[in-house]
Amino acid sequence: MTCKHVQRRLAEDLPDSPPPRLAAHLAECEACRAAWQRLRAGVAALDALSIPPAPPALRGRVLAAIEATPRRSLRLAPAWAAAAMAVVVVSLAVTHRPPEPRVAAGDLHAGGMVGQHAAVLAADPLADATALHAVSALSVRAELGEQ
Amino acid sequence: MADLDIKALLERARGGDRAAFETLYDRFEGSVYALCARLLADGEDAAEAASEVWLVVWRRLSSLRRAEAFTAWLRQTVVRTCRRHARRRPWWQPWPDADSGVEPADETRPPPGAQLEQAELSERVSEALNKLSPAHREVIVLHHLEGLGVVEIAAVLEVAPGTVKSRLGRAREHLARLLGPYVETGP
Repeated sequence: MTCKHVQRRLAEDLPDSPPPRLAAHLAECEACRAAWQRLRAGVAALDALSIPPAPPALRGRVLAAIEATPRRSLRLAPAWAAAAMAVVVVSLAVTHRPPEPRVAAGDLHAGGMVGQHAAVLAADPLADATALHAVSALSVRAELGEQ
Repeated sequence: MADLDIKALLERARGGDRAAFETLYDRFEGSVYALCARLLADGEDAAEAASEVWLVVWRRLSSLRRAEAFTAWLRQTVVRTCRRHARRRPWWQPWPDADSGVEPADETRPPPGAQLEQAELSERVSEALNKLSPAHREVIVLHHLEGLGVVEIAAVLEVAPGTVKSRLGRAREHLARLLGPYVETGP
């Protein structure tokens, strides 16, 4: 580790006490020791800096300027609002498409059954009547309490 | 003033309550002006910058989402405003270069090594700060005078924490060189 690295590291970290590796270097290097002492003294001198008071006239000046200054409003100006609305409407018109009809799996199954039913009816036009007759006969017997 | 009070004041000021804004102004006037003065190193510039800061606060207070972030937002507004002011300076009043080395000592000043009175030392420190580049002065002021940590400074300056650390190192070295003749360097 060179003197430049040691001094830069101390200047960046400004430790209360240098870590062992840097302390070992400082113990042997007079130039780095002097630079470290100068650095600490320079930083400590910042405490001497007085705080500048605000000029007495500043308050009146600021408040008068504020009195004359409108606040930024979140509401858009009418012209900008109209322009923004026009952009939204045009965008929707360009990008919006009616949705494609969607076919669910259950619909496909139902469609298949209807097809099969149509085929059966084509082969035997009285198939439905026969089936209904059988179902109604069963219902009548159930109502009469036949076991 | 407690944070709670500031939060309530901010809420009222955001709603357009001028009395609340004035109380807020009174609470932060000193710190805003001091930061402007330290960053710009000129009382007149600092007063102008501080006025501008308060106008920005008044106009944009409603856009501040979290009241807890007010002080950080205020500091960032001060730094940005002071940068704008610094850029407006005439070309014949440039900021000194950060790495230009130690300025020659004025012969009318107390000799190097002399024990300076507090007021004199304050003046020497102020002069040394003015000789730093704006970027170096910013980090020294925000860290050593405002008490911000590296991460907080990085947020205010919108740079990486590593950049802040590196700038702090160089700025301290430069400051130490400038103040070397006027401060005691005990063991």
